[in-house]
Amino acid sequence: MARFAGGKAPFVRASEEKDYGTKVIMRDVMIALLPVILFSWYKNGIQVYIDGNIGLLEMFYPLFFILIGGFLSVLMEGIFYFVTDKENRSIKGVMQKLSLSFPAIPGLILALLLPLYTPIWVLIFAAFIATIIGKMIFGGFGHNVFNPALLGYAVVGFTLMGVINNAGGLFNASEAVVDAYAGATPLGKLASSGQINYDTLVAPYGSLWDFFIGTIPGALGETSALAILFGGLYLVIRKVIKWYTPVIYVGTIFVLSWIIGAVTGDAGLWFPAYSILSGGVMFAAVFMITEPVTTPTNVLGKVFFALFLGVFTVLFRFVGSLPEGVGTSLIFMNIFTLPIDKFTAVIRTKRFKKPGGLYLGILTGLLVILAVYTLVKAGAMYTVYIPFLGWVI
Amino acid sequence: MKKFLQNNAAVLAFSLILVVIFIVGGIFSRFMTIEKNEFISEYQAAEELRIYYESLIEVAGKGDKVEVFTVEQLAKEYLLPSSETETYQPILDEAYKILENDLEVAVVYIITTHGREEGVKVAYAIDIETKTLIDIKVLSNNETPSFYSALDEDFFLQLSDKTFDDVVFTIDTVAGSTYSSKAFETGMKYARELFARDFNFEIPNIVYTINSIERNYDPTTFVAKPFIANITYGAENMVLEAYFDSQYNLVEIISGNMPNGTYLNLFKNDFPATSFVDLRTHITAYDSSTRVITIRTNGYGGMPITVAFELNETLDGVVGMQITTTQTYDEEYNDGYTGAPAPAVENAYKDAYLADGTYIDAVSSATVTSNAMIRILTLMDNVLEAWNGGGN
Amino acid sequence: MIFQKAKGIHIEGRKEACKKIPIKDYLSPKYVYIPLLQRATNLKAEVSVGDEVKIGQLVATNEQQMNIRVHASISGKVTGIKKAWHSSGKMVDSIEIENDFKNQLIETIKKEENVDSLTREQLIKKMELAGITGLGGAGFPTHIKYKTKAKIDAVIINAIECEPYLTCDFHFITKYPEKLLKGATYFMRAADAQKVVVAYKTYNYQIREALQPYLSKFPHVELHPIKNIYPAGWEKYIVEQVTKKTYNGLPAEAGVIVNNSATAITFCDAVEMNIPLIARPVSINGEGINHPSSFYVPIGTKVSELVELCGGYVKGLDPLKYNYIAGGPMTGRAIFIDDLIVNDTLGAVIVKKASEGVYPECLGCGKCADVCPVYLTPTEIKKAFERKDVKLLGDLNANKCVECGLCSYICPSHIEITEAVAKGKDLLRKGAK
Repeated sequence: MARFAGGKAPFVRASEEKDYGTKVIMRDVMIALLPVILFSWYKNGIQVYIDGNIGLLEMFYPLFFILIGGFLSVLMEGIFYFVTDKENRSIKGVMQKLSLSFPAIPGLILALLLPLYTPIWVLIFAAFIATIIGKMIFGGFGHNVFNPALLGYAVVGFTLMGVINNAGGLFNASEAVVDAYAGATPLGKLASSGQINYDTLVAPYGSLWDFFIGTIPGALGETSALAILFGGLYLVIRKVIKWYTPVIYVGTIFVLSWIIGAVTGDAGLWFPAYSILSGGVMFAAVFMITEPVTTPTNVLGKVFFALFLGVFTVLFRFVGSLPEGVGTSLIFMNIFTLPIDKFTAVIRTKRFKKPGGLYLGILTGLLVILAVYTLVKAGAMYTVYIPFLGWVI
Repeated sequence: MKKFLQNNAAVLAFSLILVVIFIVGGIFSRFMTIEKNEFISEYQAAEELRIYYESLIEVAGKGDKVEVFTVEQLAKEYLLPSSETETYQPILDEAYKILENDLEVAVVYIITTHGREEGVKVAYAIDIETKTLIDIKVLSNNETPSFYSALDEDFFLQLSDKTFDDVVFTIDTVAGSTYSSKAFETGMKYARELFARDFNFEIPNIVYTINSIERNYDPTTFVAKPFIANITYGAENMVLEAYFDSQYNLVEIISGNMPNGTYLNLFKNDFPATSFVDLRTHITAYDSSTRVITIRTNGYGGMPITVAFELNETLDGVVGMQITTTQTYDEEYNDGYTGAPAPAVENAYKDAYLADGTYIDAVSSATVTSNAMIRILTLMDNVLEAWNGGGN
Repeated sequence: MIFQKAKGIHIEGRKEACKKIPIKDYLSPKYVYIPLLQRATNLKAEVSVGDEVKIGQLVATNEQQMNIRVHASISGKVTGIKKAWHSSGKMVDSIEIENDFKNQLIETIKKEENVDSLTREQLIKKMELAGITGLGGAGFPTHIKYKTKAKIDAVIINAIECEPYLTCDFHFITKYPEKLLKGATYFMRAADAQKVVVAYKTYNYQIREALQPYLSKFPHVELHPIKNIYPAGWEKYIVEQVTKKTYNGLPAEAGVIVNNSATAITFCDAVEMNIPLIARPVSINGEGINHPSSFYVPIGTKVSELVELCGGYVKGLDPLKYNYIAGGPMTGRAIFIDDLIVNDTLGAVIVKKASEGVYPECLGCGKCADVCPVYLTPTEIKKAFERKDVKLLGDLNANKCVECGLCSYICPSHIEITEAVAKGKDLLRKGAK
């Protein structure tokens, strides 16, 4: 007779297989980031070097910057684990904890969200905010409320954008000398001019095809829809993300922008296309709103989250004075991840029976009200259709 | 100490890595920023130069490349437009060669000359092959805008496609902004001098001297050919004596050979600058049967005054005068004039002359008209003298 | 509905090693231990120490609850009431019978002459007397199912065996295909149904090949292949696949009764030979076993003897790094001491590597909710359980959990989510009372 190990059913676990598990998921996310990183390097390093506008050493800077972002967040978490673990302080222990907390990803995404000419000390500060404040203080991987990378980006964006712009901002050496850009991103032009006009929003940057390929000015990782789609496709095929989350998010923005464009500027299909191809919508759709920890878990929750997020993105873009509607709306919606998860789980199980129907009604109602408000406000429609609402809203 | 190191080695190592990233990365990113800013300023300078060169090519109307052309100043003085005597040296600011397929096709001189004010900076593009001023481009000027704006398209058209072979290398000035016009003319001439020096171009250089100009008092011919000029011209110092009409065209050769058109133009151009005789006053008609001789001159504003003298039968005195004048004495004429209305001044001269053959002093504030009258009367007296005294 | 599209997943079968070796009979162990516990019901011993028992003799009953009857599986002498490890994970009192190797049958075991004229009531009575219980794992007394008043259209024979490693049903069916069809027919008659559906996995095509020759004799039987996914053997899933109908409580609502294939074979013997439930097939499988194989053994046999027949554990096996699992790997239990006895619900003993290593926290991927066959949201149930929020547990239908284990199986972070949901289910049950 022998004493055997205990355990809980089931005794067969997919996570024990070689190519499955959280580590594999996170590895897949990093692989999916690869085309984005490479394109970013190509656009901001190699191509500029080929143009003859920077030297060989500078050519490697974008890659260096992104990798240092990933390395910094690993380092920060390592220090945090080392400092906080008073009883069993050892490098080995830190390494093991690091292997379970996937520290590189927030750093990589953070670097991809920042402009190329962000000074390194700003990057260090942002990495600190992202990993220590955004992730470790909440309890580490799996417990963070806000997307760490986004939190770091938001804090830096709100406080140190001037420093970043002084250091060169997001225009690489080739882009800085293009007069047509006039020192603004496509979305910046929309925010500053408020006019829906192809000639000012799209024409200076080429065509929508350039928007899709990504040869427009913007933060390191956000410009190329093509590279992001490659990464997204890989994630969908690997079943790391659900295809409908990005599609619903992008679709919501597309439809709302289309209506707004049609109502206010008489703009054609180019405007919704422009809306989804600028300002990091694609990057957020694939890499940030699908980030599992800080977004709802169940299917219905993901759908509602994406819908709300799309509406808020458009709202912040057109109604607020914030050009970065994506980041702001995502941070805002991160707060509501837990309740959305809870309510949609009830809806999922109870369907229209009490209280599922009630919750469904509340969520849908909120969504519709927000969407209508966004359209009315952004399209300035109240002045057209319901004049008295002008001073109510 | 050793224990401290053992306990905190990892923290120290981590901190060290952070510091290294901070320093190395910071230097790298600072380096990037500086390089980029340098690149941008260099680019902008290059871009400005490119646009400038493009504008030069545009002026030349040909070529695809601009090359700096290093030349010296050329010492040459020109009259200040505002003065009869003072001179100044135009400044050659820059010079460029325009290349087409690496062949020099044009040269651009950027010259600063004086107009009403100094500092009329103009690019003169010269076609090297055809030796023509292709076009000009005004780069900057300090002229009074109201005067400068009088320079219209027609004026500048004179400065395009102007061949350097013209002996008379001038342009018509624009009334109201003569000084500014002169600035362009001087610049054009200076550009030709530079071109001649740099590209072995020979400025058409014609040597001639107007030795004398006399009036023709022969009553049968003096209306058609009022002037007899004696001119030495050409490399061989040929002497020409010929009659010229009131517009200084050669009418009839008295001695010598017919010079070519270049000379004729030159004569015509240069006659007014001589001071042998009063060229402004002519006999326009003489009727021997009625003994009436008609003399005309320009009064104020170039407006003609014509006087018909009736001579006595012996043709040695004037018995009557018939004045036809266009002088108005209006406000433009002279503010200070307070006398009787036109033609009071002319009539005053007439009365005095008919009375005792004298000329009255110039009437105050009507000197131009007075001088014109004096010129007419002087010519009349000269004619009478030529007919009756002296020669006879 | 797109948000409820969740019908199981494919799990690697790992049956091949065991499938190759045909099932062996091991009918005469030295001792058997008849557990005095069946499906959480304590039984009363009907024999006392020192009694001689014959094969098929009634040894324990519980007439109050569903009239459970347990029979001696070998002939010999009752030597004591001893504690033995039971597949429920507890040590239970068992009747120890020492084999006299005479194989004396009790008198009632004889060939039934007029099988074809048995009425529905007679068949159900036979079922009850023979102590037939579901051999699939639930151990529900079969006669209760047949006492339904609902109109039954069809009897479904569950030959799916969807859990990995399990091969005993497969072997049993391929060995006794005709018995299966006969037993199924008796079931059909006991339910007044018109047809029998044998649901099997497409993957186990050998079952179809084994049954095919007999189908002409049993025209009311139809074969229904089912996709090779887990939990295809789940009653509700089979009923939905076969009848396209669903139900909330019992399959009888959908007009069907579902029985395990091994039960059908046992019932065939019970009807034709009056043999009660005294033996069942058991698979001994897993990486820890030298030569995995299946056995047909008397109830109460010690599993350790079967392991010996399989060549024992692999060389150098460190028991503390292996799980000794009673039942299928998805729903079974880890037994700490390898002193297990075969009872009526034990279909397999798996010795496989225990999970080790550390895993990250829940990352919220939602895969558990995606695979849940009853459309629950395990993560939320887990959170509600941690907060002891009984109302929310009710809203989340925690009581609907079938503990199939899929959520834990799929979890990339190796979280014991099934256990948490099961605890939530218990809390809800207790809280609701």
